[in-house]
Amino acid sequence: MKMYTRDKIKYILVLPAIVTLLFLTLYPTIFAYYLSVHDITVRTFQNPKFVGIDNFLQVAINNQFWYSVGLTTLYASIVTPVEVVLGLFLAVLFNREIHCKRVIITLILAPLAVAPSLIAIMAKLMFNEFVGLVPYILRYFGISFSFFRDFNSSFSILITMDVLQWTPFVFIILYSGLQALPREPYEAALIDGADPRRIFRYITLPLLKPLILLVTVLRVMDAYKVFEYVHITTGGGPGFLTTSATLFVYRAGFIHGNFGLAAATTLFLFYITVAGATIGLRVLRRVRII
Amino acid sequence: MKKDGGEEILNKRMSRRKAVSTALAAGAVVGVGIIAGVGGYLAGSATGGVRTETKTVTAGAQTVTTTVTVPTTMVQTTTVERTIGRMEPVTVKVNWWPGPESDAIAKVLDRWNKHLADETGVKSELVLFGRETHVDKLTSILLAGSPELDIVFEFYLVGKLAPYLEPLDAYFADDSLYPYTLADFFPAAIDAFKVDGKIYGIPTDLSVHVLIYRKDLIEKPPETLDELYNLARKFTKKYNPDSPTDYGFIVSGKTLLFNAMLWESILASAGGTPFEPGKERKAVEDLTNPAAKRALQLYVDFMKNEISPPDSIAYEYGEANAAFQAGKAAMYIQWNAAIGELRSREKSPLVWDKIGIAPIPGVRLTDGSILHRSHSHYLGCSINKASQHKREAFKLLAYLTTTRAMLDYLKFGGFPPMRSVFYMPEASKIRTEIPELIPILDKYAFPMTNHPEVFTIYDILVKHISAAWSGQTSVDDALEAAQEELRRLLR
Repeated sequence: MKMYTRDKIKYILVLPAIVTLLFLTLYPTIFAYYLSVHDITVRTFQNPKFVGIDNFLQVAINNQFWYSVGLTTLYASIVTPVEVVLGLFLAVLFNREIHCKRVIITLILAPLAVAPSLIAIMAKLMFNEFVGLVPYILRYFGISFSFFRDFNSSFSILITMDVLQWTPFVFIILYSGLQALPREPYEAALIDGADPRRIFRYITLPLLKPLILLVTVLRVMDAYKVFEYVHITTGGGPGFLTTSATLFVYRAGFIHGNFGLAAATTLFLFYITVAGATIGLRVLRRVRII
Repeated sequence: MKKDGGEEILNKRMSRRKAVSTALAAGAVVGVGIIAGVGGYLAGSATGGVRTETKTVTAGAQTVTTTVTVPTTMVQTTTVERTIGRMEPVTVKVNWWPGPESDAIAKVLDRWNKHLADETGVKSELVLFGRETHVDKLTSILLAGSPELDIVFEFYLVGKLAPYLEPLDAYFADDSLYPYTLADFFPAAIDAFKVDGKIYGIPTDLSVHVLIYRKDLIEKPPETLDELYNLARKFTKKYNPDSPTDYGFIVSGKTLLFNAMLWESILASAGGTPFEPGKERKAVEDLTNPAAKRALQLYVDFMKNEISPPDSIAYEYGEANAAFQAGKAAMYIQWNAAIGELRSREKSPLVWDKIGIAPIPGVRLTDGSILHRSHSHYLGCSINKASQHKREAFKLLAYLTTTRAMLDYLKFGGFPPMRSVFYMPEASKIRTEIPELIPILDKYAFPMTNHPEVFTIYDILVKHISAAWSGQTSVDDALEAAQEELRRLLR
């Protein structure tokens, strides 16, 4: 009887958390499915019309949607490896005694504390041809360059912002991992006369692999959601060239007021990423990386 | 252990006793209060009669006289309620577009709270969202039917949001609620807030496009599009190393719907059909005519020939102003809102005294005259249909249609489309651009569409035309693609 009450109490105690979580995840998900099968705009919000899979079909045949998915994939596939490599490099670099290490680490982590929209606004100002610090310094050395002149330069700025802001995230996770690694394998390797490169290749990397994979997955997921940098700096332009998938959804929902189409696009995007992640994991398993 | 437990129980019992005795004491106080109240009520009933109170309140230039007839019989309680009501006026939450407009309205509302809140029983509270997210949040709140805002600042979304806004015709028709007049506003300004013949808001700000140029460098501003191009080329260092400015013109080229509006003034001045109320379909059909192609080709030439800064492809309002303020460009087309900032010695130390304003250059017509046209639109506020204080909100809204309030609004940074304010010498002293804007407004301004899909129209347009001026596609292809997508939208 006593055990039964104890069991009951533990469920009662976690119930508020479960209810909150369900409310915050389940309700929006169900509502997104509801929106996606209705013709629901600002004007028809109170009396939406059921349209079945029409919205999904519209998304499927929209070239701009597929372009934005392709661009976002390209973006994620550039920023993720760059951030992981840089983060790993920094983690290894700081995994030793360095003068003022704590201060430097705090400075490295500073971008994490800044909102992405603020990073975008700062970048917009820093790279502005007339009032920006970067063009000013370049002009000092006789170099004149417009940073938002075309797709390549605009896209590079977007990547730069992401790398600057999120490399510290990768760094801190991997650095914590390095700090927690056991000392014995290193001592054994040193006794055997292994050089630092081999130690890194055959001890550090394998031991860090779970963390590297975790941080990679987190960064891919986040990179796929890129919105603020694009919205604030380029607005998706020039033309449509830097429109990310999330900006496409935002435009459909909030600029065009077509919530049905926006919800269908979001779900479509969700399925694409789930399919991509499943295939990716299978490939990684096949090549025995995980 | 047991002893401790016993003491604890004892303590608990004592505290319960304490609680019961406190409750009894409170009950007694309430009981006495009730008895006293009933006694007072009966005493009031015994006296009878009617009393009239007249009160005059002066707030700035306005004098408000109120006469209240108070029966002194059974309404002793009513008097008490009124007194309480005056002590705690209803708070109307006013949402505004953050920036110079909200700075201005904040001061107008301060005056209201100081001088009229007690008298009207309505107090105002300003609620601001971020500039970037204003529309999104406002739309979400209205669609959710949330009463958290009473007055909302919606800019040219009235056509779309009308189902969630309170129609104001009945309020304006009620003399006791609205003793003022709307006739002082420019008629187009009131029309901009009409949907299906009903008024859904009042205009508070006017926006119109002008050509801004450096009057120290350019004696006579360009009148035609050809003159504009040639003059801009002359003031570009790439073509004229002696040019005092690096670039002759600034294109606001970011893929942002407001930039399509700026281009629309060139389109209309080139003889094309802009998106005016009721003419949206015609505008779409005319989007591939020679005038539209010429207007877009001009922007393409500015960008391709680097007469405009190469990264102006990502420019919007702020960047275009910054480039001009830095003395790097000779001309650009901008919203009138920028003029105040450009003519401020503190904000624009390099150019504040060199700012010229002219109509948008156009094409020469067969009769020899030149076609100038300027996109104009109105910003303003409405009452949330879900508001729980609609009458109170209307009192405040009504005040915002008075010359007094709008003159204050102008003084503090707003730009109300009200004739009496515009023609006041006091107003021209504060806003030096007013005499220059009046002919543009009178002769060349055309109103922007208030179609429910207004944002979508301009978003589609800018997506395609910015693809042309960034060199991704040809002028013909861009306009055809825009036409095709807009046709589908307006079908």
